[in-house]
Amino acid sequence: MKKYKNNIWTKFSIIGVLVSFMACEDFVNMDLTGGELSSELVFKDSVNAEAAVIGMYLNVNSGALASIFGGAATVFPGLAGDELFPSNASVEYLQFYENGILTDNSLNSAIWLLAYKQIYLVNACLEGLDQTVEISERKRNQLIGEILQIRATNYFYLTQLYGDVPLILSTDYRANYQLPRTAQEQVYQQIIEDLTSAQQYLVQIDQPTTRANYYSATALLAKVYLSLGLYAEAEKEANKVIMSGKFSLMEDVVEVFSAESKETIWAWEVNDQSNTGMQTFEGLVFVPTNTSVIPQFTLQDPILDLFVESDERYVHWIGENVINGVNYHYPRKYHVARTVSRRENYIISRLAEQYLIRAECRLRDGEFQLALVDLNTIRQRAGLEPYSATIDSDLLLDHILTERRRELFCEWGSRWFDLKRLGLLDETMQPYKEWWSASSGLFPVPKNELDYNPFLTQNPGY
Amino acid sequence: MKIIYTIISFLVLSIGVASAQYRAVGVLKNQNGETISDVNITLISGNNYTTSDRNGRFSITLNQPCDTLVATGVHVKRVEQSICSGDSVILIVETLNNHLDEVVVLGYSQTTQRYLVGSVTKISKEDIANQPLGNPLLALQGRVPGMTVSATNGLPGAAVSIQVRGQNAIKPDQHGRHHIDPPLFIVDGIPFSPQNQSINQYQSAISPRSSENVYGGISPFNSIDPQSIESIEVLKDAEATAIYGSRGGNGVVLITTKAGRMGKTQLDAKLDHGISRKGKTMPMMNTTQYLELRKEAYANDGIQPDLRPGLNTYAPDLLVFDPNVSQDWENYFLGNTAQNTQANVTLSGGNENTRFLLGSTFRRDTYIYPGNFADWKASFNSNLRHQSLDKRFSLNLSLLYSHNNNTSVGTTDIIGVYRRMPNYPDLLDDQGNLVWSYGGHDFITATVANPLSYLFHPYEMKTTMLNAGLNADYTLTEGLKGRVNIGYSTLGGNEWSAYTNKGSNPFNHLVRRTATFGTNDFFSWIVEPQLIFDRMISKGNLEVLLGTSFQWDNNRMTSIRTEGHLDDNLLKSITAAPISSATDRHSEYKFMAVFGRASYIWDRKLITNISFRRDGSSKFGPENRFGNFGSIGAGWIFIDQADQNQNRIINFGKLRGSWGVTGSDNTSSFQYISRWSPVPGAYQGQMGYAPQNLFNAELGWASTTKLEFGIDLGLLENRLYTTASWYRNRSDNQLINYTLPTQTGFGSVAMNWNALVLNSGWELSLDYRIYDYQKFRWSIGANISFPKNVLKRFDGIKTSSYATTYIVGKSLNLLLGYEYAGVNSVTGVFEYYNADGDKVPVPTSPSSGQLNDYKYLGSLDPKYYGGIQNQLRYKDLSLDIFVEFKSRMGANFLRHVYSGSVVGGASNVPAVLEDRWRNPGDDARFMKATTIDGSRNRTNQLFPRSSGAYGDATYMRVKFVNLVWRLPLMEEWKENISDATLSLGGYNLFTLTSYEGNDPETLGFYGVPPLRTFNIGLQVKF
Repeated sequence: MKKYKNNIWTKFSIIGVLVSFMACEDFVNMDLTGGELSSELVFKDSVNAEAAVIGMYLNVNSGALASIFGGAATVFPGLAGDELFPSNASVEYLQFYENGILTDNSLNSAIWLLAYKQIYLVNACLEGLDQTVEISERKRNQLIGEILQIRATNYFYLTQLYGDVPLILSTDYRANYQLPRTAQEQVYQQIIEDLTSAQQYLVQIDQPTTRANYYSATALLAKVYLSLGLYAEAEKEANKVIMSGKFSLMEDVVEVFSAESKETIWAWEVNDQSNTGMQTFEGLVFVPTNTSVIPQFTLQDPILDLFVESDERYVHWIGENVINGVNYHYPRKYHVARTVSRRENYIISRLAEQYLIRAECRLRDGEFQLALVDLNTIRQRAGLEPYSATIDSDLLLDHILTERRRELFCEWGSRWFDLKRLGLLDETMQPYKEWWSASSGLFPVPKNELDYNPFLTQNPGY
Repeated sequence: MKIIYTIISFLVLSIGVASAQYRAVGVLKNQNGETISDVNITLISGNNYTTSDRNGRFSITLNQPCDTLVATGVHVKRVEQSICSGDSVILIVETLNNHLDEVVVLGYSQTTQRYLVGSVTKISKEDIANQPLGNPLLALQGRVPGMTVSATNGLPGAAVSIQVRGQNAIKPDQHGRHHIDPPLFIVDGIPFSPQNQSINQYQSAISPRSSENVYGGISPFNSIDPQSIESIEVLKDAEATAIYGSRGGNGVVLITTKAGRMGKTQLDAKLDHGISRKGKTMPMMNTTQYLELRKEAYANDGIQPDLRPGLNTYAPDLLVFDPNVSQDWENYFLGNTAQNTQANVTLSGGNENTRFLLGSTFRRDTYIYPGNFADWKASFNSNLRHQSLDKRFSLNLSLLYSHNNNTSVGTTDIIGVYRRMPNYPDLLDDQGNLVWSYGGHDFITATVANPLSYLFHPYEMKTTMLNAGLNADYTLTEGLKGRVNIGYSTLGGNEWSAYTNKGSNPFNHLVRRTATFGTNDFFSWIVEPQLIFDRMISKGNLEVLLGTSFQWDNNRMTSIRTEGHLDDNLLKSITAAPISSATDRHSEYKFMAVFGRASYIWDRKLITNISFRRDGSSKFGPENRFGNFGSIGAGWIFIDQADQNQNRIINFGKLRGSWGVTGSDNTSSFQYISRWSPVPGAYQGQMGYAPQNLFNAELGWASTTKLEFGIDLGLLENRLYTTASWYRNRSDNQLINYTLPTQTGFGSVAMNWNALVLNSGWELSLDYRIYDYQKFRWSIGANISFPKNVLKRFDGIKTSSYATTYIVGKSLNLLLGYEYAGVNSVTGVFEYYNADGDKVPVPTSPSSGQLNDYKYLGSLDPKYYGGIQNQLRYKDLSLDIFVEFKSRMGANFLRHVYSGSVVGGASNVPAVLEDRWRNPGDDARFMKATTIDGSRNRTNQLFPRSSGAYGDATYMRVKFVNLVWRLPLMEEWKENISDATLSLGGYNLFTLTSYEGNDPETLGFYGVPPLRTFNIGLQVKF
């Protein structure tokens, strides 16, 4: 008769299994590893906190053309208006040209999505910087001043494209996910508040033009006031920029969009992470790689008709490919698709626009002569004859507006927004596009947003 | 033939006897070393008798010092053996084909069909290895009641989507499509490290991952050789899955690999060769039909075709190409024959103490498209079992290794070949170069890109898999055993995808030579110490298991993109590229559990099982980390005439029921804290971070409450065995990615959500040995499932993100869209019913939480599905026929035809579109031809979202026919060769369906449907 004896192994095993019952709670405690930081760590000190802000400048990389800072503010208003035609681009671009944007157009969805992603980033950084201890007051002011401008810029273009938009000022999704659209006036109010705060935060700080700075806030504020018809305020802000002496118009129009341009108030250096020689998204998209390629986007006749052949801007800022006997004109402000021979940054605001803003505001303020000086400054740089002082005041306004079209064509939707602020959109577009309707001035709120937030409403006509 | 399998060979245990009687103990095993229960043991000298318990053990009092035992039972051949008092013997008996005594592997234990209380379906090796498949999951199609298995396409390596008993969680992605709840996959006791996730990072022909094929990808189960599998068990109800606690909520799939058998060393060699061709597809228009369509479209639109690319007026097919040429591009690209070759060698043998098995398989599949592409793999499996001489210690080691190499095309455009104009010119010139212009017209845009260029976008995926499991147990003292299960599972994928210059459009220099290199590595280890207690109490046997489990999972992905190589032949080099950039991703997960299970079988009549589990997962915050799960199951065997061969109709009857709570932690790690990670690149030399998620600190376990009742009956001397089950799963604490509007900064946030989802249904299965004679045998196996999925409750749905996605009271897999009303005979365009019931060409789309003209169009869930197997054997010939069927609604070919394109544009369409409206008054099936697309043709654009793009996709498919001939052996060979068979097989032979499209399983149109394969095989056993 055999019977197993309790031996040391028995006790050891039983104890072992029992101990493992107890010891386990700690096993599942795990820290973030593998290249991630918790938000507490990100906003613990100034080095990491600045990296969070820098992330915003890098973030644009994910959104070639789709994001406002990636060329969307140029391409889509250009297509929807009378500047661009999608000669060699997908059918989704054609919907913008035809002013029949479907609510599930993925390009339209991306504009909205990337803008709100960036707004989230700003809000997260604002909330985080509030908690940061290991940071100098000066650094904190600098970072807050920068990101407020990024938020204001996003909201400015969002409301220009969509009208009323949800005004999101925190990261709390429980508070935000059912927020309806906020009235445009309120959005503008926030934009102005953000920009004036940014001015205050940055007034003492000398920033490079590749980072949002005091003057970029001021220049954007001038533009916002202009859109609202607050000409006196716009003039005041534009004046601050022009009179700062920090910027000057480039003599040679070829150099206006180069990285060395003295005219640049704020420009983004594109995060060319893979070092492919890409300089700007607009250059990459607009400039065909060789003469046998049909450009993706070609300039429409109303733009081409504005220029005389001797206009330096016509010569240098418009390119042309001739294929099978057809002429394809394309915007060439940014000269290069990919190269290392010329450096270009993506310019958000530049001095010439401030001259034109000031010219218009001065004229509307009755300062005819001063307005003419500003206008002629731009004309002369383009190699055109200056207007004489004998010109009619009403005519001068038309000249200023036309000069804006020439100087600022395919640049941040300037033409589209001018037509809107002047109330000329319908009467201008109607004769040009037979399908135009009164609702074509706004893009549709993307379908997914409406589906996932039942409190959002759609723009008329979609 | 039923082959029985166990994980652990039990030892002979002596039972202390106080009296001075003659006594002997023993254990009953079959030739495979598996223990046999319920065998009657009597003595030749009469009087005493006993029965082997569920571990095969028995103890008997002898009449004299030495006696002779007789073992009998309905499931075994009678055996006699002499025995003396004090002996401890192993009685080897030969098992007969008996369903009730078939061993079923459960989590951490095993039982027989007789005592099975939970809902478990076992698929044995014959049903897996007989089919000419590279992926074992495909062998489960139609075999398991309650489980749906679908191939995503017919190419070798393609992902297989699997779901057990329906969708539990509301989980649409950003585009409103469902992600299915995956079951837990365990291979030889170890959680398979990649589970059923697709292992590729890049797109390829196998993995289009398009809007039509959300689950597209490369399946990790290609790495598991079907030839190495002994059985696959699918665990469904609470009783069976609760032991897996938090991860058993969506069912469990246990894969067990082969082990060696006692006896002479045996070499088994198998060689198979097959040819595959794509199945039935719809014919496309020829050039005459196509050009007529095109001209008609321009006439309808009132515009003139021209040669300016980019607009709908662009018509090289009308203006440049030869109208007398008619090509069948679909046939050119997908009409080839693929070759499948497989060789398998298995060596096994051993004795009572040590058994081993070594197996190796080589398999190569080529593709149906032109070019030198193939999927090949070499796999190796081994199993070693050992027990010490005193039988207290035993060990089971299993090792699986495989290497897989898949070469295919890195572009998904290959499926676009269906749409190339039929009069498109020859693809190659006399020198064999791709043609990029015709008649002086250059092919600048994608509309006219040379389709052969798709094949010059090479893709390669190399996968290495190692799955090693060690299971050791030691009998500590009588009735108490210590066991440890240690496992390591790893799968590494290496991908490469390149754009060659040869395949690039010479007119588009934006595309330079690029190559991307990716790795995707999964690691997982597990340690599970356990104690097993076993004792007779009253008239029953109590078994208690206590254990803990520690698991660590790790996944790491890298991707390197390179650009600017000087030569196509350098594309496999990173060094050769002047430009490169890298990204990586890493995730980690730890898991632990304490679990226990008590099982008591009283008088072989009443079975009670209780299990509990407390799980902790690193995926949740400290407060919500642990969850408790458990189940109760009971069974009553009301008739069991195993021991009395009375001729009654019902020989066996069992009622069973179970209730329990299981869960899920199926979400990604660290959703409970706000995470930031570095952004690739730098801004003026400075690094930046980006936030990764919206966080939810309260995130915790999901749970599903499962209820099941079933009845098992054995009829006609147990030749007919049937099972019927009813189940209901309630999921009211779900773990979901709650969809958010992007104004919140992200598209979703991980949440526990208390919408109530009910999955219920009936499952029936039947095994009937109709004839069971020496020379002629015929048996049938059949199963059918009737599932039902309902969203029972969703508080505040009207103001939620799901207001226009779900309807309370309908399935989660519902179809919402426009109700199609036919073609207007006057205007010639499609019409739809609006909410008021009027026919309109452009209905109102849902918005702001209102469905508007959207309607509930039905459920896409299967109504029923199942399979029927027939096995016929006459002398040396045997024939297996397996038929699979499924009834459901699905997208038909029109969804593809009208998605993002029009009929009349510069792409070919199926010939059935001849039945289109041409003149007022026409009663046609399809709207008039047009080239106007998108926003200017909303009527056409909305069609894929209407009921017109869906239809019945019910099918019955002869999945598999296999004829095996046992070769007559010459006398002089018999010494060396024990068995030789020749087999002829056919796979996906034909399909009965009224479905409109290429295939009712993969649905849609522009894809590769499951291939039809013919196979010849030779198997020799030495």
